[in-house]
Amino acid sequence: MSLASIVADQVRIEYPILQSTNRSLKRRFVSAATGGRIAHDARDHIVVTALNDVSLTISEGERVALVGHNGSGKTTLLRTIAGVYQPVSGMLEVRGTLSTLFDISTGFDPEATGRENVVLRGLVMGLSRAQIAERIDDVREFSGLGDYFDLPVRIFSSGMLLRLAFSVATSVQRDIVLMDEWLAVGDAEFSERAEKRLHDHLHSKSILILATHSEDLVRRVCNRRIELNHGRVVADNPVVT
Amino acid sequence: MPFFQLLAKGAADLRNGLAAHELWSFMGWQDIRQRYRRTILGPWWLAISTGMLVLFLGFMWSEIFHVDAQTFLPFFVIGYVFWSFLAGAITEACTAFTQFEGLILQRRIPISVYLYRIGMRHTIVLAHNTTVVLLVVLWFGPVWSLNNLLVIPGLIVFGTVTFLASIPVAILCTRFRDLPQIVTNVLQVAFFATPIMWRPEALVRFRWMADFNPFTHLIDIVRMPLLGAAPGTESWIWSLAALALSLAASSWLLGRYGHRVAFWL
Repeated sequence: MSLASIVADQVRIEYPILQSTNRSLKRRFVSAATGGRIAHDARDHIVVTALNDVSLTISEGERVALVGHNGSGKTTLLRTIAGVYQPVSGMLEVRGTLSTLFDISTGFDPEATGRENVVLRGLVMGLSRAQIAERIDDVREFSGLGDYFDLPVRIFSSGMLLRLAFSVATSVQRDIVLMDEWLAVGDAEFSERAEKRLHDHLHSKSILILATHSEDLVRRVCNRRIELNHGRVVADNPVVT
Repeated sequence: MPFFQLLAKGAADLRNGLAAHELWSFMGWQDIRQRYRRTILGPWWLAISTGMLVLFLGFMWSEIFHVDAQTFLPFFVIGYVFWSFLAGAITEACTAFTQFEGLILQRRIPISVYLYRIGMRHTIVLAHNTTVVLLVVLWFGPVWSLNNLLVIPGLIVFGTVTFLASIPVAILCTRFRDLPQIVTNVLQVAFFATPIMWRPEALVRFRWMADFNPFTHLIDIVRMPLLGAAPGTESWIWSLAALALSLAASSWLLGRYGHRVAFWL
């Protein structure tokens, strides 16, 4: 198992807000034709800075909780570590294999069955068909979905989708596990089993990063607590239990 | 980043995307299964509806244009089926990224995977429609010759150009939301401006419309061998130029803007 590590140095993420006015070609052509003032306007996108000078080093074995109010940049930071967003400036180095559990409902094909969606998710995670075939019974069993497993996921409740997503994401050991607000919609019985599975799933050297609002969960699962506010790290402390 | 580095970065995305073939071939099949779920004939409906349309239109037009159905129908069927592949793949490329937003925001996979997926989807459709082509050609008496073998390089070039051209379309359409409408319109006009329903000989004053039309040549490198003739040298030159241009454009755009697509969704 390779050494897992995440090093961020002054990472900055900006979202351009593309309104129909500056998304349209007409605006581009008009600005190109007239030049000067309008061209300046057309380039002048509204930009939201979602992460601002974030510098962090997370090493193997750390269980990190990301906390902060809504819109503080937790999800953006997770997506950046996952490689979805590339920093506009700064440096980010992520070493190790990744497993992500973000929005539970997205990335599912509603018309496809639970089983087909497991294959789809597994392939997206970078597993081969053969590796998925080996694990699919385990996923089915852990999800506790029974016969629902072979029905289209459009009839699943959000709790059932969570079970499916969680079971796939933890079906293979990964060096870095990224989770956003997990367990929020699971029932008590599943939450307990999921926490145990997550515990077994993480080996002693892997990294867990968990965005959450539950201080209780932070104390139970994590050993480091990073607080974000307006896209900046405002506190970074060990969790004392 | 300098130009050649961007090209290399884009080409790396294309290669890595290709390597994830298990992913996109599954997704492509899934899309087809989805569309025909709970139907008995499944994707064969594609071939049936193409067959019906092509036979009806073929006979009608051969009557209107006073051409012999025996020569016109095979010509029309081949052109129509391969045009549908090209136009379908390009049109769907317009929403290649927006329709898979959920997956794109989950984790980093080469962005070209979504276009391979659409290419796969349309290749499956094409494979079903090919049965119609073969039936029509065999029914009206095929011309057996060594030229038939040229269909292999023809198909490879035609398919690759279609795939590569879909990448700039996908990237630009995600950024500029007026473009999908323009693309649809251009393809619609191009269908009538390309010798599919009419033979190029029918044009006298407007002959240039067929000769200087890249679609004519891309269709011809597949159609001519199937009809037993060798495509002209100018068809190969046009097609290979289109291949080089689309490869350069897609590599550059992928290298330059591939990582920005997630922000544009």
